[in-house]
Amino acid sequence: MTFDPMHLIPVAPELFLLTAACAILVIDLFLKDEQREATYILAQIALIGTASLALLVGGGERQVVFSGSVIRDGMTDLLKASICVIAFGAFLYAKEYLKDRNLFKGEFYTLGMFAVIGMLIMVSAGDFLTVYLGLELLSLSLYALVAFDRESGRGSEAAMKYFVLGAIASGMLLYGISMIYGATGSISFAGIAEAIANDAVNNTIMVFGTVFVVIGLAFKFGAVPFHMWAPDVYDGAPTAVTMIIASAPKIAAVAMAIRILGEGLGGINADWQGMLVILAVLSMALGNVVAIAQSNIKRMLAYSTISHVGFIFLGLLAGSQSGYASAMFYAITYALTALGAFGIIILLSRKGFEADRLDDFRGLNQRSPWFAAMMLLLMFSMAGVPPTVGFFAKLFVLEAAIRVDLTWLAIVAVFFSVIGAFYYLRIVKLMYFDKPADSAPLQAGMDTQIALSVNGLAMLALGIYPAGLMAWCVAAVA
Amino acid sequence: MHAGEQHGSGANDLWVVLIPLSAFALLAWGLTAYSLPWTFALPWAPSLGIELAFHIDGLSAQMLALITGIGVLVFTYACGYLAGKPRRGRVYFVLPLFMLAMMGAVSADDVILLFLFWEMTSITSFLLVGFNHEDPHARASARQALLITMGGGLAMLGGLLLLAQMAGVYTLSGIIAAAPGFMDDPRLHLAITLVLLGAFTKSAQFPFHFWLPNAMSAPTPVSAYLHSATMVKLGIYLMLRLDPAFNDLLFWEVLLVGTGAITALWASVLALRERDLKRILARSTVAALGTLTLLVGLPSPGAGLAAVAFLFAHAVYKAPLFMVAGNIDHATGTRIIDKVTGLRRYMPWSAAAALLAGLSMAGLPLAFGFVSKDLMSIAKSEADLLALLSWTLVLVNATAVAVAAVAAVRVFWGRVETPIGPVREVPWTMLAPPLFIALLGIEFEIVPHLADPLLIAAAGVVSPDLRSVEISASYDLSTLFSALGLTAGIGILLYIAWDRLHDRLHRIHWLDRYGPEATYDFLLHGLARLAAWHTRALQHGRLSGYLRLTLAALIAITVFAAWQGEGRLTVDGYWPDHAWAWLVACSVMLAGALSTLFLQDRLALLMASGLVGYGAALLFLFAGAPDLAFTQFMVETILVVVAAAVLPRFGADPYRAEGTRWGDLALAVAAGLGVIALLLHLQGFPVDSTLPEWFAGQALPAAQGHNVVNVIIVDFRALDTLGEIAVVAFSLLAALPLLRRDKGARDHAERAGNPP
Amino acid sequence: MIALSDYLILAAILFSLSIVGIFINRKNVIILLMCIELMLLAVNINFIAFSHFLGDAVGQVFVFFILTVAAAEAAIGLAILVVLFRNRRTINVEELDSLAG
Repeated sequence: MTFDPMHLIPVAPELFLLTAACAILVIDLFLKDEQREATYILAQIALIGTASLALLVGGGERQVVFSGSVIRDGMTDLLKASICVIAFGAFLYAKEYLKDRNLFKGEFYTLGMFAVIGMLIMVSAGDFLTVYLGLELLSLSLYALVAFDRESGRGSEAAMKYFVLGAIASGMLLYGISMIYGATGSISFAGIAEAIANDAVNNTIMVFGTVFVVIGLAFKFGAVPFHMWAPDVYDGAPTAVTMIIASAPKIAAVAMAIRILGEGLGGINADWQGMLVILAVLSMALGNVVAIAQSNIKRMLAYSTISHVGFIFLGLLAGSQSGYASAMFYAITYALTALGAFGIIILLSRKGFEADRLDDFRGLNQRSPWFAAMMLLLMFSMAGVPPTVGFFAKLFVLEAAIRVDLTWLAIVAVFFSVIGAFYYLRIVKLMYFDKPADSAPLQAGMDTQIALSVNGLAMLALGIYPAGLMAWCVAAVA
Repeated sequence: MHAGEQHGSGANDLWVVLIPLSAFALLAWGLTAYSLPWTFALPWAPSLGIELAFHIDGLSAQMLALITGIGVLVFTYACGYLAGKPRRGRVYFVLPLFMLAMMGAVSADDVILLFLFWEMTSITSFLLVGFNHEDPHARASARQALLITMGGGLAMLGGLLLLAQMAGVYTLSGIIAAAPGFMDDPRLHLAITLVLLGAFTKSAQFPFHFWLPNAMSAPTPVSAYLHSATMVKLGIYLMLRLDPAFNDLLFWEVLLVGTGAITALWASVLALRERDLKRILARSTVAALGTLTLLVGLPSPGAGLAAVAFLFAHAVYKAPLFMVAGNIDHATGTRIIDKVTGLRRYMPWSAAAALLAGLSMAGLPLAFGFVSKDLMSIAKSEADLLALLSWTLVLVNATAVAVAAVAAVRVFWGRVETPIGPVREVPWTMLAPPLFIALLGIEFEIVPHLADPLLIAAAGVVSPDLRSVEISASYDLSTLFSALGLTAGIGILLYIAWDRLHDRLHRIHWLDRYGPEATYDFLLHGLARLAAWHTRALQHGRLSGYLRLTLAALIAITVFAAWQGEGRLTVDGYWPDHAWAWLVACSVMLAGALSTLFLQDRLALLMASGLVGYGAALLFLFAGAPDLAFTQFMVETILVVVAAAVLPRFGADPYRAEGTRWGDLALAVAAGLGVIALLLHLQGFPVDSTLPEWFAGQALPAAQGHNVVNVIIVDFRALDTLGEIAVVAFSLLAALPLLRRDKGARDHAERAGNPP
Repeated sequence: MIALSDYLILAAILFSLSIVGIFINRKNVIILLMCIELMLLAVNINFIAFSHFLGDAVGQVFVFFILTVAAAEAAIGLAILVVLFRNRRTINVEELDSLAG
């Protein structure tokens, strides 16, 4: 077997980021605390470089390299670029927050970059082994990041819970993978799909393997009833870390689900569709209903994530091209929305003060009409109010469900999104109709302000012109 | 507000009137210059077939004329009403937005576009109703109106998407054209129900009628515009728009006529229970909307024309009445009909406007209202409906007469019993609009041809069979006396008996406890209670609870899958070659595993779990994977050593064993038995020995390696190995900063008085 | 000759034991971590068995990766445990309930 250097080109983004992360790690060792800004700038440059590299090597025919373990196609181009962009935004918003809390250290950025590498690997994985490695790289970085504030008891408690439940999820996933391997004799998605197509599988073992894999996926997504970690982790982790957990990994998870369920197990769609239906309905119901009772905005957003995961499942379980495209569209736009929402929370926080209660949003309109308007757009997008992009994300998903004759499920989804509107609008009400409890001026660098404005306006821009991104998503799964 | 308080005419703000005025002028110019319909389409989301498609026909044009025309007057009125109020800029910003959304909603052809504008009207109305946001009641009603109309809108979207799916196009015109093709589709009834949910919530039909009176906490110009003339007509508009497609469908007819009749009747009864002038008007608006729904549901073509005409007439008389109610509120500070009476002395112009609009509302001759009432009686006879329905309408109309009398006569012309202090007439900006609209109603009667083209064009859209109908007032004395005389008679009786009726109806308290509004409140609070319960009971923060629930779910799902799958439970094993080694390995592992469960001392525990690893390594050794076995040995050793190094940091064991928890044990045993049962299923698993031993064949020639596994790791799966090395290296990286104690942290801890 | 099912049953027993351990242990985080290791071992045995009977080496390779990644995972888990202990002076699962709601 000869080694073809051309095979390295499709994985150039991962290799570049890995090299950059290692280099930054070493450089950071020689920097004094006052020069820490350099680490941040280098990390951002590395992310931009990775995103451009992903688009540069992208386009054209689907490439499968390294004996089928790595895939590069339209989906990887799009998702890798969006993951990098969202990580870029998260790093940017996090900077002031970390500085204020004595957490502005090189490790945050190297761990963050490793998490991004993990996500990139998950996106381009062509077999279960690669997906597992990517997933572990992501999960391990996130566990460490949650405990990043070593002085915080809440942070370490959240990390412990996240770790235990996450490790169990990995175990379930692996147990399922081992069974699927046993049933089909292959760990590559293409090989599994082929074995299913040739009917050369043991059905019982396959079904149980699928069950465990789906449960593992549900865990990582945070779908009900495997969601218990989400509120506690969102709440306990430093807001900057919660922002990372809540945004980009959802995109990677969707990619993983599309690869495993669509490309690998697409042939036995009927076996996993029913399970996803249950998970989707439970997630939408519990997420939307329980979010109402929250007084902590980080917990509220955790439950809101759970409900959005239900919607993403709605697209996935359709099992059609349009379903996968809609799930992808949903995940990308949701990640962008969550990024912005946490960005606003960070904007309201300052040294010694965490703006994580809903009450901290009181009268924001009087303190800063512009950012109140941005938060309004973000909340409208989460609630799915037109003409923000969240509406189109929901629409595409519902459309996909109706197309496969799951009209009742679409109606259930619509019903719960009405309940969901309730608590997003409560924030709007607090911002516009209440008196501020806290009149301290918002302090943020110009870069954060510009990025947040772009982020908020993107909700509107993507809502008014969804065709571009949607066409890209459709082309990506074709 | 203090009685008689004046803030000037607000003439400085009058520039906002330019917005609706220019729209109206543009529309008028367009109508004279170009013939209907106008269509316009631009691609938007081509992957879903959604486009920015507009289709403006007679019906849309009539609605547009109403929206912009009444808009001009409402904006003028708003300048006077809001003069000197803080935050009025917000209304001037949102009101044009609302107008735009309304215009979009009635001209959109694409269903997504329609929904978009539809929800925009809900949101802008939320902001307008919540204008007095210091008032918790105003906030609650704003939220109620939003939740109900937005929820309905979403249901409508579902219905429209279904219709689009059945028709294969996303335009309303396309769906209507394709309707005969999917009349037998099983999803049709569901689709219609969903669409009508949207229309019914928007137009405040029973059982969603309660939000409209509650929304009366909005400023008066908002009520006059949204809640009488335009927004609440949007549902009627949608029904009219879809009527040609489903006119012959019994389901459609029954739903519309039934809901309309119940709404009209019930709202009339409720109107008699109110004392607040604005709420009385709101109730009668609901009754009118019910009548409109009923008319749309009637299958005869004449009913379409009647509906279109009544829709127009209602806007023209109800808006000025709302404005007059606002004037009274503005001047006296109250809207309770018992407190205000004999106001004509102080507010002669308002009295005149009220009288004109009231005449129109009561359906008396000379006013435009008559024409539409007349048409309604024609429609009724043509449809040959049950007499009961006619009586319903007579009763509803009689209440309308009584309401008109209350608004126009009682408050202005009644006897003055207790003077309510100095009352001055409102500024001209608040007088001109109601007077103008009310005069317009009369004007249309004298010169009816002014409105004819619009009405005919609109009715032509609803009932394509309708060729020409004489709309102008063709006084047929028998119709006049039989229908109107009776209506007016009952109406006047109702007016005279108003106070007594009110007392009677007011005593029926039990109704409030079971009505739709109580249901809404119950659901709203129930939801909050459910959420709070979940948080207390399930998300309690204890990891053990989370694990228990998670694993219970796991068992449930696995059992579900096992129940669905098929398999056999037979045990037919072989006796292994190296049985002794196998047995040793197994017993080592099982002993280790079992002791981890029951040992208390940490180090012993660690050793026990190490045993399992060593047992596994032994097993690997005999299963033909020696290299793997050595790795397992190494990893296990390192793990035990590292853990042993870390453990003493946690100090002594503070706890001892406790009583057995039978519930947990049962769950655990269930889990174990479940997995074993699952594995027994796999007994008959056939081994696929035909799998190509590609790796084995390629190892030596391609990679010069004898150990297949090694070759695979460093050659065939080199990239994964790189990934793995990254994972391992990085995990140390992640662990180190967590374990490292930096100087800052120690200083901090010392300052806080805690030993590090 | 050992039947495939024997391996699988052994794996299943280990898997169940790990679940049992997670269930009945309410207090000690370390036991939790060990139970998770047990679960991964069960997976490994599954892989090895399948690999052996399929005549396909990929399963063994997978086990290599799982082993090392599990070691890495354990390292992080212990690190988190140390941090937790430093903050809370306890590693008792029952006492970790400051995050709730």
